[in-house]
Amino acid sequence: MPFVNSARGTEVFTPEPASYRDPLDLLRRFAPTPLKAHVYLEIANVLLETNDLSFLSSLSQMAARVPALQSCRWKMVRDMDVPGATSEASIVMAGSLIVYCMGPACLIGADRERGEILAFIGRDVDARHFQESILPSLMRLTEFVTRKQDAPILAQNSITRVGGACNA
Amino acid sequence: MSPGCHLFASNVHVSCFRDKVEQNMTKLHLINRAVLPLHSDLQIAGAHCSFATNSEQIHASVDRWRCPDRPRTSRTFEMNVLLDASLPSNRDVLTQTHFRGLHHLVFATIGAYEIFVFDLLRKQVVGAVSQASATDAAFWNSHWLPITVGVMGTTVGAVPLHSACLDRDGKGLLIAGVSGAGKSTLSVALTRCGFSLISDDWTYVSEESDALIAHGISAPVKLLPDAIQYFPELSGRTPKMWFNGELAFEIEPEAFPQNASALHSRPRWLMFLERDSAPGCDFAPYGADEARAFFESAAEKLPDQVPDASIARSAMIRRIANCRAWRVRTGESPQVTADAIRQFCERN
Repeated sequence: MPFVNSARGTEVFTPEPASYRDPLDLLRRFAPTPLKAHVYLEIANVLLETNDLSFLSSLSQMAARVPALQSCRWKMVRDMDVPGATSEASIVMAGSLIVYCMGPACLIGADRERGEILAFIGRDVDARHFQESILPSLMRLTEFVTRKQDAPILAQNSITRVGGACNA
Repeated sequence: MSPGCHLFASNVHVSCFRDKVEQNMTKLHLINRAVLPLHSDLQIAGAHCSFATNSEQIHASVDRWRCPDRPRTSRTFEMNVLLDASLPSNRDVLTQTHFRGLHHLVFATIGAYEIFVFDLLRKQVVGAVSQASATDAAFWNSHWLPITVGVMGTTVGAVPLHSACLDRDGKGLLIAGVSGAGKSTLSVALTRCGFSLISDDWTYVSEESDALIAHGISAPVKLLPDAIQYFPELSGRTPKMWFNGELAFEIEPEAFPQNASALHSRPRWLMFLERDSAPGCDFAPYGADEARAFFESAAEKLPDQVPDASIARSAMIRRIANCRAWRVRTGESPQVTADAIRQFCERN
C-alpha cells in the first residue's frame, strides 16, 4: 500500500503569510486561508486550511500510514499582527466547546458538534515551539472533537480544575 | 525517511508531546450552570441575556440591567461567567484586551489569564475572570456587557447600527456618518438643546410589537482630543487610550445634565452628517437606498455559520432606511449645528 501522505519539493508559489487588513473585519474572521491539505493522523483525518505552510510541515511529521476512521477540520490562521511568546495555558470547557488559550499568541477553539478546530497562532511562535507546545494540545483536542470522549486526555495531574463536573 | 522510520519518529514525538502538555497545563475551567448558582435575566440594548455566575460581586455589578424573569426565546443569549479567585489580577482592560474570531466563535483574552468565548451559533457566552474583574462594576457596565451585546446582538435581534441616537419627547433622532464626522461631539451639543442622549456611536435597533426601537447601552461617550475647543470644560480631564488604540476623552452618562440621557426611543429622524469647510448648515433629502447602503457598508461582516443573523440584520436595516432621512452638511460648530437640527426637527 502506498504511503498515503506525501511531501515533496514543489515549484508552486507559496507566499509568506502577510498581515491582513479589513476595517470591517476587526476580528480577522475572514483572514484568507488559501492553503488546504488533507493530513492523515493516527487519531483522525484532518482537513487543514491555513495561511502558513509551516503548519503543514509540522503536521506532516505526525502523519500516519493509513487513514483513520474519524475526520476533523482544522482552520489555523497565522496571526501576523500578534507578536510575542505564548503564556501559560488555560482551558475553558463548556458544553461541546473547548477553548485552549496560551494568550493572544495561541487561541484554539474546538467544537465537537461541528467537528472542527479553529486557531490563531501568533507570528513569533516558531516551528519548534508549535511542535512541542501547541501540536500536542491540538492532538488532544482532535481526540475530543472526533472520539466523543468526555474530556480530552490532557494531563490530569498538572491541571488545576476550577468549576464543576464536566458537562461535555 | 522511510514510512517505517516516519512512524517511529511520530511515536517519539507523541511521547515527547505528552510530557510537554503536562508541563504547560495550568488551568481548566469547567463552566456550566451547575457551578454558577446566581442567575438573573438581563435586558441589554434590546437583547435578553440569561446570566449566571458564581460571584456575588459580579451578580451585583450587573444589577442595573436586570429585568423581570423571562422565558427564553430565539432572542435570548446565555452568558455564564466563572470567577476563579486564583487567577492573577494584574490585567489592564483597555490595553490588554485582545479579540479574534473564526467562523461562529469569537475569542477574547484580558491580560494573560482571563478568557471569554462568544458562540454566535449557540447564542452562548462563557468566560473565566479574576477577582479584579469581578469587583470592577465599571468593567461590566461600561465595557464588557456593551461589548457582549456588540458581538451577540445581531444573533438575537438587537442589530447594531453605526449611528448616534438621541431622543426628544419619545421621538428618536439617528445621526449617522463616517468615523470622524463628528457624531459624538454633535451628540453632546444636542444634549444642551433639549435632546436626551441614547448613544453617541453604536445604536442597537430591535423590533418590539411591530415597531422599531433604538437602544443605547449607557456606554461612556468618546470625544476626540480636539473636542476641547468646543467644550472647554474638558480641560480638566485627561484623554485615555481605548480598545482600538484611539486617544479620547471618556464622558460617563452621569456627567450629562439630568434628563439628558435615555435608554431607548422610537426612530423618527435619520440624518447623515457630513462636514463641510464652507460655513452654513443645510439639510437635503437622503434616499432610502443610500441610507441602506451606508448602514450595510458600516456593518461588521458576519460569518457564513449564522446566515439567519445576516438576513435579519439586512431586513432591519431596510426598515430603518425607510425612515425619513436627510443629509446634513455643516461647516458650523457642533453647537450651531445642534441648534439647526433642533429647529429642523421642530418643523418636521
